[in-house]
Amino acid sequence: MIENTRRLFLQTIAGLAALPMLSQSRWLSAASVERTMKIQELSGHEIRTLQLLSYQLFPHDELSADVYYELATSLAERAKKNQAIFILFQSGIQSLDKLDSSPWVDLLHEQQLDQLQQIEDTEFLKYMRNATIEFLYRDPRVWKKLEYAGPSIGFGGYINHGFNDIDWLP
Amino acid sequence: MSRQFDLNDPSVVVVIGSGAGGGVLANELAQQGIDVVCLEAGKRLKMTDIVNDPAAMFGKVTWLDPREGSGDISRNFPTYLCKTVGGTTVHWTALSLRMAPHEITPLSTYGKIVGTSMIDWPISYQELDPYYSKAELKMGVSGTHGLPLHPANNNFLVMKAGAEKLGYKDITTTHSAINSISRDGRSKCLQLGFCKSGCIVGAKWSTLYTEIPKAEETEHFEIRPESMVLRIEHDQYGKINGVVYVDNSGVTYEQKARTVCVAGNSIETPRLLLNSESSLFPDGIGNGSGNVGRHYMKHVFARLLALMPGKVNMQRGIQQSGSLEHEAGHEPSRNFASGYHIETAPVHPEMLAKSLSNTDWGADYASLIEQYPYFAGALICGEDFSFANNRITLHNNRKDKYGLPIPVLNYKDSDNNRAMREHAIKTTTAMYEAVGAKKVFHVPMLTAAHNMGTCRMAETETDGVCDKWGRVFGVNNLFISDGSQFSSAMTANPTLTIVALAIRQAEYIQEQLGKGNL
Repeated sequence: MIENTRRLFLQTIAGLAALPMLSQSRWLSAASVERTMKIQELSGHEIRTLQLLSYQLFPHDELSADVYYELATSLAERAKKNQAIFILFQSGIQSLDKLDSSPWVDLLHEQQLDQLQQIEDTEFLKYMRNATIEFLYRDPRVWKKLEYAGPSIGFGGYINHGFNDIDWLP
Repeated sequence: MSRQFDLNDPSVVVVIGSGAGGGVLANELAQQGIDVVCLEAGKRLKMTDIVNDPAAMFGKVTWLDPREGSGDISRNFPTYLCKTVGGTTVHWTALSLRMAPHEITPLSTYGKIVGTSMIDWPISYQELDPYYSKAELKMGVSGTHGLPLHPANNNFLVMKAGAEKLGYKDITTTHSAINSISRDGRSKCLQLGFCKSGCIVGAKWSTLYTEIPKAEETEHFEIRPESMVLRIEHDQYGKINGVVYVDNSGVTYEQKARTVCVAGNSIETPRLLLNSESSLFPDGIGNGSGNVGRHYMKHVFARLLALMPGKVNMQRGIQQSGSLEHEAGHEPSRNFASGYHIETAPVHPEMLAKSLSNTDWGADYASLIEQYPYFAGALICGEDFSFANNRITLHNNRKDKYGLPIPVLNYKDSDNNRAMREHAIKTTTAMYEAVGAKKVFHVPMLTAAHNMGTCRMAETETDGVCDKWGRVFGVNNLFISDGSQFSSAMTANPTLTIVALAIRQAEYIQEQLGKGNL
């Protein structure tokens, strides 16, 4: 399936080791190692952008904004450990912010959607789309909205929980 | 503590792979007192490692070592197969259908389709029939040997109602290797709905918790997980005398053997033969005729997801819970040869979001996903004819972590496939629309879950790699023991046939050992 192609591509990115910046840490002082590590931290603006971006990609209005915030911070954690991801996010957000005189997060809703359409085919947006799907649709809070129970072994399977309760077929 | 064999013991039979082919063959041999060492590339899961979590289980059991697709197949993820003790029987949906009698002679039945490399199987249906019966008994296939059919679940009931509106009759939950009653020391099915993530309660047949432990009880069997076979070795006369394998810490070993049976599924099996080239076998073992890796078949596949007017909750219960078999026969008026099955196939929410579109996002798409409870799902599985250039080859420069060339799956779709798929999509769409589907989505599938034919059986070496017993032409003590043997793909899922062939091959190997021919 095409999505598995993308999944493998993304797994490949995720598997890339942290590159030169960190490998030089053996002969840097502890303080400069700390500084080096901090360079891969996304800024508050960047995290806010990822939060709003993931919402615009898959807006489930009944969900709390917390869910999207957690999504963004989990991506920030990923970026800390993986230089390729960090660069993808930074450069993606920079490009997005450059499309207008104001940063993307400050634009009106319709303008935001418009600009996302413009970057639809970029690796950044494809990555964000996949990452958002995987975070949201593996989350029990989202499952509740979809009436999806997740693991069923806990209640002994659907054998006594409506596996054949369909009632509208002609 | 189960038996452990010495590396230098030349009296053992080495079976490579522990799935439907290797696991069954190994157990059948061990039950007859034949010593077997089974080398499995993957890890051995405990039952407690199996969880109702498709993403987690994907990471635990899937073959993720690099493979490349070329042509009408996914470039980076061409196959969905397993690397684990139990092989793909850990993941499979357990649909267990026999080939129909006419399907064993596709060339004679359909006539030669231009461009294909079609052949008839070199065995008759009469020869295979008793082994199908033994396989069904071994696996506990519902609707056979007096075992009850499974009760219908919601997703199946939608299919059945739609099919009946179109005039089809006698649609059942069909034959599944899932316990419909407690049996064989394993639970009956609890309709968990996570079959493809491994069955937590062991109701679904998998060699992991059936053949493997039963073989161990005989004390004629040893399984070595995380043992990737790199080469098959032979003496100066071309007689196989062992295999080289590597463990998970990178240490290589040579296990001596009197006979080697290869059941690594249809990508690794030819790859191993090709990678075992030597001065005596410059193109790979058993490849004098150039057929190793060729005639690769993967079934005509498509996924359909239908938005229905009422709730379905397709995730509830057996994932492959019934199939429409009425289009699986040969009907020339449809303008394609052979046929297809329509099988129920639900998806979990993440897969729904990934399947309905590769690219969509935004409010409309999110609303669509919110209608998850209203979706029904099906899968088409149809016969794929062999072409000589649909084949597994070794990559020119990409190597795996052991320095061996990775496999490339070269595959082109055919006119027959396109015509069949179009018909199947039309039929399935009409089926769902007949019971009120608001929209039916077709999801192209470029990753192959069924892989067959790459070391196929034939009457002579000109057309294949092994004989009617799976014995490699010109290499007396080497056997092909998985779906690579298939002379044709037939319309049905491959596993039941793989198991039947393994039971039969075990009998033959035992007989040959007794006669001193191995």
